[in-house]
Amino acid sequence: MKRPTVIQKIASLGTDLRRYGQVILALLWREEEIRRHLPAESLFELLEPLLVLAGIVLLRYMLSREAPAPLGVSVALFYATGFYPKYFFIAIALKKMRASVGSPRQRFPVEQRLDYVIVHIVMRALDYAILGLLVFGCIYFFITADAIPYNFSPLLPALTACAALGFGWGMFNLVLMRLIWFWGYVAVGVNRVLILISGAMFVPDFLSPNLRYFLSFNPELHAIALFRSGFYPQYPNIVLDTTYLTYCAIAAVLLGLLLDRVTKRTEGR
Amino acid sequence: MIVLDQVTMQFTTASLTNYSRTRTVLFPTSLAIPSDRRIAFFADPAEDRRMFIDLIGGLVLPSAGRIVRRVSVSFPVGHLGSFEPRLAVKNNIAHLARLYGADVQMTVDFVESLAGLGEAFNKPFGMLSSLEKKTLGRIVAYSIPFDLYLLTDDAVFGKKKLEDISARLFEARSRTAGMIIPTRNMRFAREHCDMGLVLDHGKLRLFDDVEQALAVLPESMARPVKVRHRN
Repeated sequence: MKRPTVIQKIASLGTDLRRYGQVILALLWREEEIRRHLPAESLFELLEPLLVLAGIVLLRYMLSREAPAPLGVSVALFYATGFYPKYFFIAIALKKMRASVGSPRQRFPVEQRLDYVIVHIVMRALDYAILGLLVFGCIYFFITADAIPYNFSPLLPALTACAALGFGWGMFNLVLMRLIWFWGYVAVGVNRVLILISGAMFVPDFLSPNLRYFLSFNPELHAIALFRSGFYPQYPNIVLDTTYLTYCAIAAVLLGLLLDRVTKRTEGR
Repeated sequence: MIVLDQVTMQFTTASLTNYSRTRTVLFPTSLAIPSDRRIAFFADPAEDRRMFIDLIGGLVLPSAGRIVRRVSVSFPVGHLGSFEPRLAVKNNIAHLARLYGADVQMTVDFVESLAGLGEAFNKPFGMLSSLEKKTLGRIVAYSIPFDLYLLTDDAVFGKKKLEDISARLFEARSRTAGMIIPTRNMRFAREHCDMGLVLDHGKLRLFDDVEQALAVLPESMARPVKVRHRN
C-alpha cells in the first residue's frame, strides 16, 4: 500500500491537530465536571502534602523550639518550599497516574494513554497552583512575610522540571509495573527514599562535599534547589546545576514518550 | 475503506494452571475492506470475533502492520468505553459527543428519546442496572454519525424491546453507512448482508457475496455449536 507523501501529511496536520485538541478538551471538561459534582475528592487529595508539612513543622517545634531553621527565619517556610515541588512530582508520577490511565478496552478508540496522562498532569498542575496559593498564603499571613517569593522567575522552570521528571518516572513505572509484577512495591519504596534524599528537609550545600557529590546526581534535588532560590535571596548555589536539570527533564520527557510508543501495541495484552 | 497493511494479531495467554502460549488470531494480511456495504463476518471462537472487531475499531492495536482508516469508524456497538461511573449518564453522553466532535445537545436528545431510561438518565452511570447499561450500549454508538459501524455478537439480538430498538437503529443507520456484523446466524446473514468476511484459522478472506462466504465456511462455523459439558 502507498504511504502518504509529506505534502499529504502536512495537509492533514490541521485536521489531526483539531481532532486531538477536541479529545484533550473533552477529557479536561469531564475532569472538571467530576470535580464540580464531587469537590471533596480533589480536596482530600491535597490533604497528604498538607498533613506531612504540618506534621514535620510541629515535630520540629516540639523537638527543639529554640533551634533556628536550616535557612531563613521560618521553619514552616523552609519545609514548605521543599515539600511543595517534591509532592508535585509525586502527585504526577505515582499511583494516581496509573489509576487515571486504565486499560485500552475501558476507553474509546479516540482516547489514547498519553491523552489521559497529559490531562492528569494538567489537573495536578491546577491542583498544586491552588495548594501553593493556600500554603504560601497561610504562611504569609500567619508566620512570615518572606513567603512571597522575591524572584518569581525560577519557580515556573523548577515546577516544569518537576512535572517533566514526574512524567518520565511515572511512565517508567507504568510500563515496568506491567512487565514485573512486584515493581509496584519497589517503586513505592524508591519514592520514599527519594523524598529523603531530594533535599526537601535539608540544604544540600551544607552537607559534606562527598555526600553532596553523590546526592547531586538526583535531578529532583536541583529542582528543589531552583525552587527555593526564588524564595531565599541568599540561597547557596554550589550544588545547583540548571543545565543538568534541563538535560534530565528533557531526557525524562523523551523517555516517557519513547516508552509510550514502544509499549503501545502490547498495552492491553 | 479500511486498508489492512500486513496486519498480524497474536497474543500470549498467561495462566496459572497451564504454560503460557502464544495464539495467532490473524496471520499477516493485506486487504481492503469496503466501508459502504453490510458485511457479515464469520469467525470462531467468539474471542477471535471480538478481537478482530476491536482491531478494526482501534480498541487494540495489531501486533504488527498497520490499519489505515479512510473513513470514520465507530467503536463496537455495545462498548461503553470510558463512561465514568460517578457522572450522570447525560454528562457521559455529552462527553462522548465532545470526543467525536458531534453536536452535544442532539446526541443527548437522541439517546434520551430512545433509551427510555426516564429518571435514571440523570443518575450516575454506575447506578444503572446491567440491562439499562446494555440498552444504553446498543444506542450510544448509533448516536454518533460514523461511516462504518462495527457490531458485536449481541448487538442485534436480545430481549424483545431491546431487539426492536436495535433492529430499527440498525436498519436506519445501514441505509447511510456500512456495517461489519459478526454473526453465526446464517439466515440473518443471507437476509441482511451483501458481503462476507471469513476469518478461519488466522486467514482472512473477503467475498463479494454472502453465499460464496457461506459456501467456504468450515463445518464448525456453519453449524450451531452444541455446548458440551465435561463431568
